[in-house]
Amino acid sequence: MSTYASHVVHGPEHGSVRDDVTVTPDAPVRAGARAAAMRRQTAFRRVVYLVSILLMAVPLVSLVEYSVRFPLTGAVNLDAWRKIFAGRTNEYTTLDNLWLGLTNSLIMCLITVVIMLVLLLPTMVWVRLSGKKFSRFVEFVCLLPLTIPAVVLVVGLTPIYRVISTQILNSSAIWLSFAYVILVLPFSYRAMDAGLRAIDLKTLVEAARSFGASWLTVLLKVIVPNIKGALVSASFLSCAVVLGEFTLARLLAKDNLQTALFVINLSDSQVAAAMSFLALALTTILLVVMDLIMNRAPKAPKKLEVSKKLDVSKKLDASKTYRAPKKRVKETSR
Amino acid sequence: MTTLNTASAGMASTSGAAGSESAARSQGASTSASISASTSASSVELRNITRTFGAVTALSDFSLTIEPGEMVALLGPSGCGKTTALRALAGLEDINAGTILIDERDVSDLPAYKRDMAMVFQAYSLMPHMTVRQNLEFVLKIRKISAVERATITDRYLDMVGLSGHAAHFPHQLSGGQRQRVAIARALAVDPKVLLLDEPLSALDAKVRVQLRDEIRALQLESGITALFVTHDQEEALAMADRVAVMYQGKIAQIGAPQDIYERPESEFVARFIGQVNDISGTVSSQRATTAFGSVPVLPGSVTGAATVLVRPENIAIEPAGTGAPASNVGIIEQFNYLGSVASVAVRCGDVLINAQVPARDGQHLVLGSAVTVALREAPALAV
Repeated sequence: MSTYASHVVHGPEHGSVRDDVTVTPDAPVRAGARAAAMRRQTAFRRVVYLVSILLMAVPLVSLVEYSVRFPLTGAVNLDAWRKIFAGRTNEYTTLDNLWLGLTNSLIMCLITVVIMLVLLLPTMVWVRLSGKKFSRFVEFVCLLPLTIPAVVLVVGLTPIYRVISTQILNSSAIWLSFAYVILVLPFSYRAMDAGLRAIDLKTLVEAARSFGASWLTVLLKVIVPNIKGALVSASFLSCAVVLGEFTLARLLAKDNLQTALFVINLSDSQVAAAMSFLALALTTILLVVMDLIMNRAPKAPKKLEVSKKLDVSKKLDASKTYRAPKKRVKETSR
Repeated sequence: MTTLNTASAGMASTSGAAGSESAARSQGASTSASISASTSASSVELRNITRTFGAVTALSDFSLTIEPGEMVALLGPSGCGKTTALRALAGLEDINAGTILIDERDVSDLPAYKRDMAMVFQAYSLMPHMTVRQNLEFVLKIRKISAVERATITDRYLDMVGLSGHAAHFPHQLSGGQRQRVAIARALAVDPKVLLLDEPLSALDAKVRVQLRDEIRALQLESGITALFVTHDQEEALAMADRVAVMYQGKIAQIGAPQDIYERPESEFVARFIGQVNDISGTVSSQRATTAFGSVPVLPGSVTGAATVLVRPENIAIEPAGTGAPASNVGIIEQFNYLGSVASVAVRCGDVLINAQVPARDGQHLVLGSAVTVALREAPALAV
């Protein structure tokens, strides 16, 4: 390259050097090689995509196939799906528990997300503003549930739920949400941490505060809109955890979606398979929809190429409204 | 070298402005009626403020008074406590001891949002999810101003900083200078009692910085608002402020008009921190310092007896040496830097190196390696 370049260098313009190089005799050959390399890369990428899609599709397809084809006879029928889409009717009373579990799980999603947001957002903002010391501690506490097996957690939760069920609230499964808040902490902490890291939290908060905004205004009008994406993903992750939770519910003898699926699986495994597939599909759709909402940029005017020239012209306009600074200096120094 | 040059340039633009400065201010105040609703500027007093961070003392018995409509610059090296002082006034930093008075009312215990101040930050502090217009309207809404008025005020202040055409843009679509201009418009729009500026120009490139510096000063004079300005850039402080407070180790080392600070430093720290000085040894007696290069009057606060005299480069005169025998005040030009309007000359006299600054057109006959005589001009200097 340098040998070709050396005789065409006329000045400091490096762009011209490169232009000249492209017309040298062997340039087309190299361009061809580059194109071939690119084609190879594209092909490789496609193969990787295809293999991963296949790998992920196998269990899903199997699940669907199992839900419609009776394993012993091989006869295909849609009974399982019909039962699910019939809803909670008198016809299929055996599925009552499944509907109860699903309802419980959805309510718990909501409660868990609300408690998580109300608890975690102000805490994390406060921790971020108050320095490193607390930040380490809160991070440790939030990540702790990852390291504690659910079975161990139950040992501690059992007496607490005994009190909650008998003395404070009732034995409804939805109060499991309190325990689920603990389970979702590590995931929502991570998501929110990333969001808060991405903005200049301290300056924004101090700016708003110095202009007279109360903490509630700061939180709702300044912080929340700026970390909307992080909040959505924290909520989504929480929902995913709650919808998939089995151990706590089972050990504390509460009904949620997973325990219901487990029970149905024993009596009507095809319905369980269909329902699992449905839950999976719905979760995926939810994920895609949330992703779309998150990435939808606010409606902005066409981006301007902000040039120095524009800047100066604006400044000249401004000088009409107040005395030009340069003039003032002269006046005062006289 | 640049520091030296710019410092004296700053002096040139402000020298002789001492008397007319206050006149300009009152003039600014009289026109402010058209801009801000309230014309009476507020006074600020910080009394014996102490603030410690663990073992570090950021402010120790710090006191400062700002007159209504005055712009005071806090200038100092990093870690001298200047930002802490500003943040304490804003209410963003707690204080261990002391009193903060605004219009003679104690606000020490008021939270930031009740102090009626507006701050312009070093980092871009515009709300990234709001357009320029929304940014202004947001702070006006916080101050419970009606929607109709909000729109009028926003228009007026965006027009004032020359950004009316950018009202619908988001901060990330603006240049750094434009963003800071929006931040200033936002600060002025709420008509605060005190305008606080925390190194608002340090994130900008040199040319925009100088331009915006003049604009901020013009806006401040025009609105007649009381302002406190923190900077580590002495040129900025000298050019913009009515008074400059040089801070050192949590205290004000000296406060005064820019030319007082530069020409009549009261301590070695101030003399060395602002501009450049030559260390010339000499002896001080009866208010004059005698050195190998001549004698100069000394400033109050100087020592007597053997001393180091701190002389500004522009107070040193350089002439080509005659053919006579080498005297003690003759040296060889070791370095000659042409800086446009001025030239900086380094002269070797035995084992001392003297830095002098001469107008560039006078420097044409100064040739590298030639012999020159060095003489002190009759300007007061500090002897330490």
